[in-house]
Amino acid sequence: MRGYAAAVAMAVVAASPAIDAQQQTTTDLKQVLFRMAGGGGGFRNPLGLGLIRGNQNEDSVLSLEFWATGTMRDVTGKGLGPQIQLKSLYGQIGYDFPGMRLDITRADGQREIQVVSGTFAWNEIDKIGGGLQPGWGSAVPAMETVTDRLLRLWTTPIGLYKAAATAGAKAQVTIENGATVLTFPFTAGKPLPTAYLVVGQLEGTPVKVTLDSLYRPARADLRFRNQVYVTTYSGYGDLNEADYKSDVYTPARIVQTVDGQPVLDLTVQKTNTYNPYILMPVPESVQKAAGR
Amino acid sequence: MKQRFVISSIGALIAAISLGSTDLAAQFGGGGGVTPAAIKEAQSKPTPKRASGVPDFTGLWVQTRPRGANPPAALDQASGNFTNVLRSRTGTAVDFERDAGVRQRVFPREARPWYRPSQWQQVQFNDVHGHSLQAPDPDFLCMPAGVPRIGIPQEIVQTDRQMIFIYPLHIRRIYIDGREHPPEEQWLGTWFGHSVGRWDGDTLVISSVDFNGLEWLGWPGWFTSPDKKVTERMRRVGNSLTWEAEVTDTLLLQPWKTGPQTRLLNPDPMGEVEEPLPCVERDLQHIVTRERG
Repeated sequence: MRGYAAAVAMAVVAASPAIDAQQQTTTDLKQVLFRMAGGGGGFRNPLGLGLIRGNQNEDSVLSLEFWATGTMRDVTGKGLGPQIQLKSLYGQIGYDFPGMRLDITRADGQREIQVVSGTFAWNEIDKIGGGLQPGWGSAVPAMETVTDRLLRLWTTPIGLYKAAATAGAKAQVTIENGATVLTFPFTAGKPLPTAYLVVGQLEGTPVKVTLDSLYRPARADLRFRNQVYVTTYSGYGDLNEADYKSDVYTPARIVQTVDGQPVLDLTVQKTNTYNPYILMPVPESVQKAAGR
Repeated sequence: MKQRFVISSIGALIAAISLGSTDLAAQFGGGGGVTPAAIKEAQSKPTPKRASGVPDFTGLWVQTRPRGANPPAALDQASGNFTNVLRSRTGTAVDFERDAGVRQRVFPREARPWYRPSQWQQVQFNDVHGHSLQAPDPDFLCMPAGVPRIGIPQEIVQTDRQMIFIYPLHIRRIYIDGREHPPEEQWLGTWFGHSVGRWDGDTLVISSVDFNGLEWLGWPGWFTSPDKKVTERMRRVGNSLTWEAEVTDTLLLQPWKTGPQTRLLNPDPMGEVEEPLPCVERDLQHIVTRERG
């Protein structure tokens, strides 16, 4: 798998195509993945998600932070939770272990820190990293949410790229209404140092990703547990602070619905895409509660 | 300023590259890459021993070039790009800074020091502000890199009493005469600490304590405390030298390991290490963004 991903980069570098950002015609999987990752682009030619770096053209983004506002509601196998108006949302994503931490402050001031790391999920109480060191908050297992939190992680735009790259030859490219469409099943694997797909019950779930004119995800469609998830992404840009630009492109708005019901509507205010230091070790209490 | 910038950038690149199993940094500007085949060939040679029977690490562990020879051309004349040094998506300088800034932070979870959660914000702050006056990376200020950040020495001089590790602009003394570390009340708090070595078979095990807590473990804000303890393991097999280190610190949830790195003995009996340029910090006050490559 790792060799495949490397081949994707190298083969297309060798071909050195002129990038047809406005006229998407290619259905070559390697070229589409390469462009989606930002290959062929640069500071003067923004393209894709901006993950590819260095003269070896390697996907080099494994973690990020973001700050957002909006609304969200929990999705579980039992149904949808109440809609939460967010005062603030601070998120950390690590695509290499993989994990996601959402530090949610509701409009009424209530705080909830949700974490998924590999096949473990828990909530941190009081502090980020709660339960890992004596006197520093605590951790409450939330194992029933693992799959839903992983779904949120892998339906981020960068997550979709890494999931497609991991699916490898199982991914397909078509052109629909002039747009490039990538279809692939969520597949566990570790094709790159910067991508480690842990997908749990999502294994095999087909995803359809429609790319915009710059090969960035504009929409993702999937069906899981007989529910239809639709996620749209818009307003792409380098959302890092003005003196900290990295050329990694993320959407300013993410909207997700489940069976037509809004479950996520985020306006991203700021990101740090310079592979920030984030850590999500599983607290011992969570491991014990999970029987592992 | 510009000279310092390029040196710093190359150094940082080398630091990132050297996370691999072989230390390409040692070969930079000199003798080609350390390939597995080259390591195998070097290891097929006999390992020199001292009269006492322990391995002799004495030698130049960096490639050199003949006096007066030029380093590899940084500028590719054909393309006009700095492909050989400023490695970026497009080979152009404009993409180098951000590419290097992203790539030098590619540390898989296992390769990062696991700080206690109470320290995470400080690491993040150091990382983001490492090239500003708010949290300057000591290496950027021309301070010694400390241990283990400084890595494998360029040259080693071994006696029965001590080993002298020679690095660009710095040396360390490793006492191998059986002495212990001084008692804690006599510690001085230094960049390289107090180091004693003992032999575990053919492996030199170096214990270092008595640090000042100012040195960082690595580029992205990995700070330390004076409680840091470092154990390095070095083994010479034929003409190869392999180094790895483990750090414990009260700031960390668990010991942090770095390496292994392998270098080959310089085969040139007349090889000379060039005197490095002095490090003079002139940049910090002029840096206007937090991007850094």
